[in-house]
Amino acid sequence: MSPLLQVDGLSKSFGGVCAAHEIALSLDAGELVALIGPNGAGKSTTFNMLNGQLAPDSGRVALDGRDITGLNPRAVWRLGVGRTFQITATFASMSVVENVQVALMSHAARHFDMLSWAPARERDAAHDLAARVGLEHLAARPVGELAYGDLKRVELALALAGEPRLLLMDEPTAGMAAGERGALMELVARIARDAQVGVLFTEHDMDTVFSHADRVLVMHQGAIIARGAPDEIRADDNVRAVYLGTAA
Amino acid sequence: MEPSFFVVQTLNGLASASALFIAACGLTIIFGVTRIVNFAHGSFYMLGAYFAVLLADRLLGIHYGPLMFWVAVLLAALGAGVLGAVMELTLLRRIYKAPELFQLLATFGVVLIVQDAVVWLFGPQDLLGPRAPGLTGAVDILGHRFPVYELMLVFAGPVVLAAIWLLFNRTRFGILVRAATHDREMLAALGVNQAVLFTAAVFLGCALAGLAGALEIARKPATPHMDVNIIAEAFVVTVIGGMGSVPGAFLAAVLIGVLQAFGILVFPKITLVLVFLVMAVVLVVRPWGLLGRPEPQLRGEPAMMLPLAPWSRTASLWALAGVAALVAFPLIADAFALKLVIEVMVFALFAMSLNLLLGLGGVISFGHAAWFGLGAYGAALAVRHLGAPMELALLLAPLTAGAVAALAGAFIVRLSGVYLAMLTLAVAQVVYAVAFQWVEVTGGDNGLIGIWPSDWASGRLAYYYLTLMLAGAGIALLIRVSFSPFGYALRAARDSALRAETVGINVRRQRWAAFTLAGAAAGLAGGLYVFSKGNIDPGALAIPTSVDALAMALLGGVQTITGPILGAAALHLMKDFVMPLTDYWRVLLGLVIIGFVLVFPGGVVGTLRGLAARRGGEASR
Repeated sequence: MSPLLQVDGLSKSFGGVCAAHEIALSLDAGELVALIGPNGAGKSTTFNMLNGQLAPDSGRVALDGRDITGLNPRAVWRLGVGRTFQITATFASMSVVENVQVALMSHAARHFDMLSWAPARERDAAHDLAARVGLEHLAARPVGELAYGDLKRVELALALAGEPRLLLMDEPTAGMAAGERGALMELVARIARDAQVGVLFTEHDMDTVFSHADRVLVMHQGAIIARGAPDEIRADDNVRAVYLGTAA
Repeated sequence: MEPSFFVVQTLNGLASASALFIAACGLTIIFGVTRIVNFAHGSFYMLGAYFAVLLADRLLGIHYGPLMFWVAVLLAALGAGVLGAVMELTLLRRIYKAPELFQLLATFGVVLIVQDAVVWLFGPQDLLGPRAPGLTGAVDILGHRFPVYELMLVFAGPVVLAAIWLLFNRTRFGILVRAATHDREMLAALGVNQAVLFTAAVFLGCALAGLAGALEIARKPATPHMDVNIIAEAFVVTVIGGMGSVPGAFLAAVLIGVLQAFGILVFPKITLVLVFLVMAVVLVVRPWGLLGRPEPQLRGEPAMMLPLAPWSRTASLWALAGVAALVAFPLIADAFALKLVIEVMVFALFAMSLNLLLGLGGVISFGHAAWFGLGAYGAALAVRHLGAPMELALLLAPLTAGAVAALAGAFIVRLSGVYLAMLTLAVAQVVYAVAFQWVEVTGGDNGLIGIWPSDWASGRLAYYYLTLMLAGAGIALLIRVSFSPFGYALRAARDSALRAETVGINVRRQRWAAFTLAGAAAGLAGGLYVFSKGNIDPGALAIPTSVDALAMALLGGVQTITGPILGAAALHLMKDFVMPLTDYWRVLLGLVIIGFVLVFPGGVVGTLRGLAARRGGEASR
């Protein structure tokens, strides 16, 4: 059986700068994998190639054995890949529930329906999803008024609205308080296990990474330089060098 | 074509290119520094021309000679520049942070004010300027006589280009202007006094507009309409060249000038169309113009992203009451009142159709008159040339407008922000030019007359109910669409195109469908309009009609659903009651628009709701 996500030889250059070089990784359903590395290592570029924001120069991305390289973000979403952004992108003029409703209506391919009454559509499902990410008490609030940590939860709800098999989360806990981080990651881990969703996430907070990831990939200067279980990565000299700059 | 004729025609093209470049480079400089598209640029061009005519008459009376003529031209340019600086200090300065739409509208308010001011100060008749002393003759070029003044103009463009190049590369001011064009925030962070820089840039830009106008007086008279004519062409030049790029403007001016010089020989009927077609093609191939650069990151426009109030039971009751009142209205109304309310209903549908794009879609359409006019002309032409009855014509009106809107929209939705607004304007001008120049079919300037309803609907009362039914149905449909999954997805795409795309919504296709629907609805309004009037002329397709629609949406509040209906009523009634009382209603309209932009940046209903929300928020704290 092929893994949920299989990436081979993925490369991207901007001008002469190689942002991602021969990236190879794989991920199984129900697994939480962290992609870490210093700023500028190429994590976001890699993410953008995985969900179709960026076309890779070369390489291949396969979802459940199906080649999805070069598909646009809409098509990738419809195949079951949810994405959250480092800088949150939500529908600011809409309430939490309406945000989720939009994603659910799109998932049901109703977004060209000009005649039915949208406020009543997918309302219960949207409330359920809001509750699932812990936002039931804010369901009617416009997301433009929410705190940053809550916006991150809205993003998660939007990503989940497509019933994804794979979640790509770019710094899901950035800007959150320490307690909140743990709570959100536990939620993500529970979803991954219960629904057998694979999760690939980037993260700067090492406590979060080491306490929640099943496996860790380390990127540096566009390449993956180490991979393994959290304990192995913690002990890896190469990784220490990259993060602490003790040796070149 | 003879080679010598080719040369002379090229020179003609270059002469008009120079005039066009001098006018347009001021526009592009102002945009580069302040990011404001100065709709009033043509007004300063016109002021420059009027000032120059008066000053040259005066000065040449004192002493006849070339020196006095050129002193007059330069003083006129300075005068236009000073007035531009006044506009910057009193108006632009307050709206640098406002949404682009409001900036365009506010500067259009200046256009209206200057139009009436010019008529009031200088009279409605054309003013012929003196010929330039020393440059009145003609020279022989390859056997053709060519006016010396035109030859001078051929060189004036490159001279101004060189002067601006020196200014931008050899002076501190110029380097700051270039830096501001490149990265405004960085420049501010470096501690440059932006206020002075912005005023100076607007002064320079408006002085160049004035100079271009002043140079024209030896070739053609100063008229109260020259502002709108030049502004459309200046927009085309700056957009083709890339907004903010002076060399780009020069390149584009030469392209347009030469194209017109030869186009008039090959296609004398469609020179205007040709110009806008070139622009449309350039924008489709190079969305940022020939030498322009993409806008860094399109800033969100929070003023446009206020939450939409849910449709409540109260709203339904109000709507029912409104319909009931309109049904009962003929019981108390006279013929004049019926006519007025018919027009209000037509414009309400027109404004609502625009608001679907503007409010929900965040798509700034600056040429919405095109669809209104296409509907009106579609219906009128069907009656005139196909002998169609009113019923069929009213069906064709939205179909024609919707079909052309779908075609144009496919290209328009590829762009965003100011460039999109300019392309919609260009499309509208193409439609206007066709209606104006294709005399055999459209009747040209006179338009088409005698377009009356079928017998059963020919009475005022019957047509009132017909309009109520059709416009009402159109408005009801637009409201329904706003609250449909489609409307939600359209709004979502406006709030965050990135997120919309990552939840499977094709932003372009969503906007394209909205554009088509809005075009069809505006077309229906146009069809109803033509049968209520009995005639149609190109005025219905002109820029002021587009601005009326924008002003109606603005007055009502762009992020409300029903606001545009109130805006349409307010603006139309104001026009109808104030216009007959004064010759200077444009001043009033201009002041109203500017006042609203300054006082109610979210429209009336929007601002009131914002205030209410704030009060509610404070109370709950």
